[in-house]
Amino acid sequence: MKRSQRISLGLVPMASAAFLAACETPQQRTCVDQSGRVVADANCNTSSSAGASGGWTAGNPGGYRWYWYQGPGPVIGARAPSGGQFTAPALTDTVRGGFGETAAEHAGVAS
Amino acid sequence: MQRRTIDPRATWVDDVRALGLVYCWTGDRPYWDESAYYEFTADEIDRLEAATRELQRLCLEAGQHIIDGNRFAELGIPAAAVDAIRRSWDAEPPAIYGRFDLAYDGRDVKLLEYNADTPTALLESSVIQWFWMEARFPHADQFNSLHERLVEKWRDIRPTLTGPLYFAHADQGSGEDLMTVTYLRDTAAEAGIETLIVRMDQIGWNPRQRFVDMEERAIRAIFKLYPWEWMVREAFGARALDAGTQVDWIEPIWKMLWSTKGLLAILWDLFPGHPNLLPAHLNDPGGMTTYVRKPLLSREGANVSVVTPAGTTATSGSYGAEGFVYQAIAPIPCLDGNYPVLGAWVIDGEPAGIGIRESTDRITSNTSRFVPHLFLPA
Repeated sequence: MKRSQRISLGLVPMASAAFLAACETPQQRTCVDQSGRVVADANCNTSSSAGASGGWTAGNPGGYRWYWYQGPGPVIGARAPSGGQFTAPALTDTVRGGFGETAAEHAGVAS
Repeated sequence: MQRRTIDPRATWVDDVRALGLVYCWTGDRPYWDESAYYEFTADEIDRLEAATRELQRLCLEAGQHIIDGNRFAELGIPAAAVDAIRRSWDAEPPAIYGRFDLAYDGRDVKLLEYNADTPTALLESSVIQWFWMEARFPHADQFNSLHERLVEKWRDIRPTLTGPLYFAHADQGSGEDLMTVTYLRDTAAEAGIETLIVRMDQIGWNPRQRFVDMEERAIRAIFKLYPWEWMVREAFGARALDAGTQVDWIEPIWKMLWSTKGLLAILWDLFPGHPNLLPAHLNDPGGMTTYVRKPLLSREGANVSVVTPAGTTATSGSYGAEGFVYQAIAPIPCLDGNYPVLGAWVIDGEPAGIGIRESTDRITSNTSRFVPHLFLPA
């Protein structure tokens, strides 16, 4: 078999559009609930435990936390754009950042 | 093989970006270059396919030879990785793809190197040049069955998965790594696999759940567009090598046997004079006065020197401490001032297509351009 018959793409066009849009927008912060949906910032502001670090804690029954990402502005009720990050949850002993250091030195992987 | 010039589509930037090629420029120059294309005959494509299949066979023998002869150290493979490589080689976990870089002068096909662990230029080889051909030469053909073969391989793997399949990439500004893994996710999703994406630096280590994602879910199977030679030296490297961690890494760690350029010298040792190989030696030129010196583990043409009696040209970079391989200079033709290198793709061990990058000098680097190809059916 030397040739394709049909190529269908689902995620690629969406990721491409999001990437290009993100190039033109600054990093921003929004408040999300545990399902990843955008909620009013007040939910994070009034929860002392969410605070600037955005961690999950027992004092945060709503499960709200800050989410940092690049892309279009947040819409309350919509799912937050993918590709962003949370600060690591505060009640776990998970360690992050153990991979990726060399790529940062070399600016990419391509070969 | 003919290089033909042609006017690019007026809308080419939007066309290729819509298909995921967000990295279609290198600085102020096109990376995707459709102002030219390469035309092959069907007979040439048959020869390229046969050479790719043959090289894959040779590499399998070379891999076994490295293991049996315990030749890891001289190839720059750290001792800490050896046990994991041996286990992985024997267990034959899923391996998806690789890309041979070939010199082709219209007659001979010669191996330049094998990118077996983290090859890129996949999206442009599989998708972008395919849709270019359908738009410009709908009655032509292309050596390109990458998409179907990827989907087919994921279908094989699907029954072995016990949870979502993660796709990991490095944080990289151009978007190339992100779009490469996103494309692979698309092919896995087409095979019915649940996929999730994570950046390498987001992967967590939890003493109870082992490797976890950002939501603290255990990672059981992960495709990583990240070289093993980097992973094993980073903070989580020892954990990835631990047999008890129980993560299926794709590509598997035994690909370290093929992703060192020392493989070229091993191949020449085992198959001297083979028509698809160039003379190559570890540590010194082995009597050659005209040769290319390559670091064992360099990427994107970094720290490569071309040595001839007339002088030496070299690229910069931060590789080479691990040692070098010395390879005879390949017969790469110069067409309209361009040196094409053919990337011959292997999916699940089978030839699956080609992509061409061309440069204005003999060293293919991260400033090379991707140029589409077609062939005329017999």
